[in-house]
Amino acid sequence: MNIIIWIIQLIFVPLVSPFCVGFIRKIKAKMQNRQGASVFQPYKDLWKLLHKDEVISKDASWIFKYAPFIIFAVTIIVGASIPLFASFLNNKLTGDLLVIVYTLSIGTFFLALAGMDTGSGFGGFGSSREMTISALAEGGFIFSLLTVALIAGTTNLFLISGSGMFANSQYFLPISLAFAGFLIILLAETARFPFDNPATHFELTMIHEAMILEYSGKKLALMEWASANKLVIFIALAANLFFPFGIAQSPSSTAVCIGIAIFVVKILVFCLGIAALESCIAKFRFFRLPDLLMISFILNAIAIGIIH
Amino acid sequence: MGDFYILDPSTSSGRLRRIIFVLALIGFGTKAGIIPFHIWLPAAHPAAPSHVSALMSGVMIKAGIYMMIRIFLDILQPAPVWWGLTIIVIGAVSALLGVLYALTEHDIKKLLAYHSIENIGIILLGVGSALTFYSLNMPSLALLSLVAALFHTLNHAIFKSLLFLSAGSVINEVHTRNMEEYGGLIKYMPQTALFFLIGSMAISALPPFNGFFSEWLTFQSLFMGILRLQSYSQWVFIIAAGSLAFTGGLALACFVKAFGIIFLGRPRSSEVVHAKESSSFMQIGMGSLAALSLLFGIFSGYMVILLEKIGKSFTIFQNTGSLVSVFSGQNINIANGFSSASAPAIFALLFITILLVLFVIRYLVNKNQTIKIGATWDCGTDLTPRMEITAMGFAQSIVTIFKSILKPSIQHETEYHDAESRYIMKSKSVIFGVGDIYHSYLYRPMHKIINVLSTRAKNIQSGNINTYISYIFIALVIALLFVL
Repeated sequence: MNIIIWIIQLIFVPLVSPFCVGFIRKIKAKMQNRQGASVFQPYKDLWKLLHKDEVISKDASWIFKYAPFIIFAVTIIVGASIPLFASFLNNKLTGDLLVIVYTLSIGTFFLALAGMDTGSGFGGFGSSREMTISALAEGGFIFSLLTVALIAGTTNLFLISGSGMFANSQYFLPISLAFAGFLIILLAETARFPFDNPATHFELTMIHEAMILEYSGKKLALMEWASANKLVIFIALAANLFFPFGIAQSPSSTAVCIGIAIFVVKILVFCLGIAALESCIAKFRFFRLPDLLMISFILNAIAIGIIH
Repeated sequence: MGDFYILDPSTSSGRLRRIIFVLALIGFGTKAGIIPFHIWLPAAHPAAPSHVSALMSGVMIKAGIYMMIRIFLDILQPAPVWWGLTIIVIGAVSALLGVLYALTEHDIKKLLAYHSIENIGIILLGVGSALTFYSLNMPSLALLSLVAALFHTLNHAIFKSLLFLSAGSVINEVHTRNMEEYGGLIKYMPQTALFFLIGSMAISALPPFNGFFSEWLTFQSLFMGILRLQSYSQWVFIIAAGSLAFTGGLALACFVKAFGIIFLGRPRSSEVVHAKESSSFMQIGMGSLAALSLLFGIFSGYMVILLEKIGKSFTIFQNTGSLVSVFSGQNINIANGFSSASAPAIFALLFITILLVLFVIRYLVNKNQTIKIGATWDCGTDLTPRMEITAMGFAQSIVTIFKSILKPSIQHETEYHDAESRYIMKSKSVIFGVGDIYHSYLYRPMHKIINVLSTRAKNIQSGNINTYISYIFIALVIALLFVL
């Protein structure tokens, strides 16, 4: 039984992530009065890209060639090391808050290096912007997770999601503040509005798309897939650390099935929220983004200060 | 105790001990390179040969840390709470400002020197927390913080020496320290590039390298401080943890910049094209340090146990219970399950998953894929090195965001063909700089005050021998009055 649950945990994120991207696109299309592509279009895109030939720049080194594999592997590892639908798995080896944050940083590191590797102006500026945003997001990211960790009395994400602290009304205010802060980080790290526009290749403003501009074929598929995985990872963190109801507490098959069903519903709600947000607000000017990230950090610092 | 018996708390006065604390902090802090007494460090490193820089950064500045630990945790005990908090604040400021200044640098050795300041800051966060916890009567937490500080001291010596040695072999080949003239070196010096990459990952605290685990321990001791302390001391720990979090992010950005500009892209000067891989002896030196970086990461459990034994040799920690336990699989566990992480598990997971993804995507999906080598998309123009991002440009957005701290300056200089009619430009140069607030607000005023005082003091020197004899006589009378 446990092995089956672990296998579901391992393949859940890469399996669901293209659907999330397709769902957000569908909602956005509906809000723009368009029909939109099917929600399963991203799966077909990945399949198509995986079967295409590739063009690689002659300036590229092994960093460019192996970065997609490293980045994709990192999202798989992080996806398996965070609570998705079951809190009883209790991974004590890699389920630590800081391990998750810094393992994700490995992906960012290689993504930014891959952007610089081909010597294209776009890639370089994409990397510079990505590193600026991710450096400033680090404080808010660690602190928002730390708020719930301090309340739960452990930095293990599985134990936090299983601790049931949400039921305790005394922690309502710090948790809501931390969630507001985390939402900003979620948008920043997954390259969403108002930080980045995932739908365009506009030279002057693109961040994530600029770094993967030189990729094609299988490697592009991995890059796209990894960024979809990252979206699900952040949604899972938001859903299970701040709203941990419905998560499976025991290894019985009913609890696990309910856990999976509720988790899928939570993902859909978050995707709906992100799509609605993206349809309502414009992208911010780049130098306004640090203000937003600082707001996230300060909200979280206040949240930590008022726990007790 | 030896000569330090006059500092025995039962006999010496509180004021004397306070003065000694402040002076020791400034003195040994200058040696270690804390901000604002750091200005000698970025100036000294470029002047020394690279292998000497490695020793300076790895070992010499740690002498300051050693003496701080000895004096504050041993000789001057018991210490009031504010001593520890002061050291934490200094550590937080040094870490954050150190990495910000590193981002503005494009001299590779100055960049690494500023990172030494950053890492000294991180070490001081551990030392400061140890002192605070001990003053607040929480010796187990103090021991944990001390272990974090010692571990980071050791790790910094390893990865910073590695970075200086690999930077040195690059400088040897390209004959300049200016990063703007590097580029594409990964194709000419592949081994050195790999070693520099490992050093960069270790210093940016990416698992499973050693830097991550000492920063992890430092974070844990700060988290425990936030959890256990009250009022203003809790806020000091919150700010320190925030500063450490931002420092980690900015260090990552800085090493993306360093590695990307030095080794990736196309060569930016003709010197790069002639670069050759450094000799095998140098590779052995760098390779063994790189291996140590990984091994100290994977076996961080052993290291923590070992360093805790060293920590327990302090008089104040002799009977202290331990908060760290290491389970099977090197699983480090803090404070009975508050946090735990296993280095070998992280390493194995990364290794296996990357290989698995590589195997599946490469050999199982679409085996017959052809890969064409083409040119980078050039928008229809010729690709020149000038189209690549520069070290300056990479950091520019962060410099702009932190302009109130970094005080960037832009200077335009235009030269004309004809001085009379200024129509045709001969050359135009733009100089970007970073304001040095330490010189203008600390060292220059101090210099001025000393100058003024010495000019005043000069007045008593008349050159007349009778005056000097009368000075001696007056001094003698005063001395006698004191004695009698």
